[in-house]
Amino acid sequence: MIIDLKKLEEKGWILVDGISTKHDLLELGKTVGTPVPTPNGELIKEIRRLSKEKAPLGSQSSLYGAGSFPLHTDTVFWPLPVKYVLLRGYGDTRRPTTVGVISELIKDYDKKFYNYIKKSIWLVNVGNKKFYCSCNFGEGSCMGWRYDADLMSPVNKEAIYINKILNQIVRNKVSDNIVWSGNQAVIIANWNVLHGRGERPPNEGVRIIERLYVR
Amino acid sequence: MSWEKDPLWTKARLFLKYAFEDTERDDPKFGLWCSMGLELLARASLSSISPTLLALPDRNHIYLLHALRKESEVPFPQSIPAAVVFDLCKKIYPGFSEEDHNIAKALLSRRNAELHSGTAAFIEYKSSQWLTGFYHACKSLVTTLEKTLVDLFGEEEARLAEEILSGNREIIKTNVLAGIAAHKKVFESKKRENKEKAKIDSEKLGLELSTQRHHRVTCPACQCVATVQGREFGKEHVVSEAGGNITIKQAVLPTSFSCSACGLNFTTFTELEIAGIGNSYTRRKTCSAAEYYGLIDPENIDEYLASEHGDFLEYDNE
Repeated sequence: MIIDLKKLEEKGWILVDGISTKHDLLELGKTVGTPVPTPNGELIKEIRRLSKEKAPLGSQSSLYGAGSFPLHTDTVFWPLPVKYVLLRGYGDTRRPTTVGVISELIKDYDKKFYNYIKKSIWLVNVGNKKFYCSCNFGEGSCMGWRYDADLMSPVNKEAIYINKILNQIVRNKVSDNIVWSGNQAVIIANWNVLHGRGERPPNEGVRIIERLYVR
Repeated sequence: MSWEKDPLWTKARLFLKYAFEDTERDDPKFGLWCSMGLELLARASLSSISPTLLALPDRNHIYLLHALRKESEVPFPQSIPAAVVFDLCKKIYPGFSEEDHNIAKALLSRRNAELHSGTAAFIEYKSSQWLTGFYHACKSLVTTLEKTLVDLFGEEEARLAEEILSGNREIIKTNVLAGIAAHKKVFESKKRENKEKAKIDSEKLGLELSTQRHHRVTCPACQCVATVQGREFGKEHVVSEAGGNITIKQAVLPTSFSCSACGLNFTTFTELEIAGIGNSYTRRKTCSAAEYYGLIDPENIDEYLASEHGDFLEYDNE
């Protein structure tokens, strides 16, 4: 399996053809890093549409039910979010997965915005996981972003300012819609690209998204 | 438990915000927040090499595995004590000097005394005794994280810290101590009545100057009343609002010293700090609510508009 890593780095996400099983998805994950299990131990998690009542506490479904999800960084509840998120969709695939490249989403903002981003302090508060974090972090030579409007609360005045703006962005803007077709998977650079779930189509059938986290 | 660099770095910034923005400099909590912020900064610095450095060694490597994310079920993972954190920083980072290590350990001792005993540890450990060293230790540690003091403190505090750190301390120290010794010798050689007169005059002058933005201190050479002047810094704290007036407390960093009795003078904070008269002090001022909030008297709106915008006829344009 050959992955165009340069394109992934430049664009922030790429679609890969020929991924038709969980095994394929896992092998694809290994080409970009080390797959890591979700907090409940599963390596590949099947995500299905759930009502608010049936969804696990703290999940996007528990907040938005069957509706659309705002753009967000995955695994903000880990001190260092996973570097890549791999998704494969099948079933009723009319509903797209949305992606937002952070540098594109915030490119029109002024110097104050960027200055405040550096100064902003946030609290991640998910179940028994509570820790402070930045929304723009450096790890080695890489810079990464972390934002989830529902799981991160602003702590200082700079974060309150940034939160007002980002909260609007993640609910109203997207860079692209990934329309699932056939045996495809998407690799999302989770430190630079947010993702979400599009609007629910009428009479939606069973839509399954397989998800793999990769460090 | 998070031993990753980013949460530790962010929490260090938060604690230093509590110190520098939310606490008055003469409040004992200022030292406490600074000491805790410094420890978190040092932990972030070690974590930037590997979070495993923070794991408390144990026979079964439980905490090490936790740091490696191989054992997530440890309810309260234990990390190495702060003293070991600073020892490791000294071993690993050449830039974290013996002096940085000493001031970090001194603040740590005070913090422990503050948290684990009934001692009011930071009341007697004035910021003038440790602030310069603290800034230096912070600078050494932020460098290891490829950050700057601006990233840690914000622009204003970082500018002040850099200014304080910019002098060559050893040379300044020699000059300051020599200056004090020389003035002391000259003053002591004066006749007794002249010394008495100089003392009385200095008290009078000190009292007079204290109403003119000077702050009275004891001269380190002749022990007479002398004064310092300085620069306001940090956040203003409103202490009372009554009868339309607002009283504000503002921290002042002393930057010049003058003694009328023996003639000793200093002109920088570093000199004052070495001479033992570098404590920041607070200045109270009272102003009207209108002044404080920049309110405009509606009676004088035309005057205000003219002063702000000159010819205001343009305002009539749609």
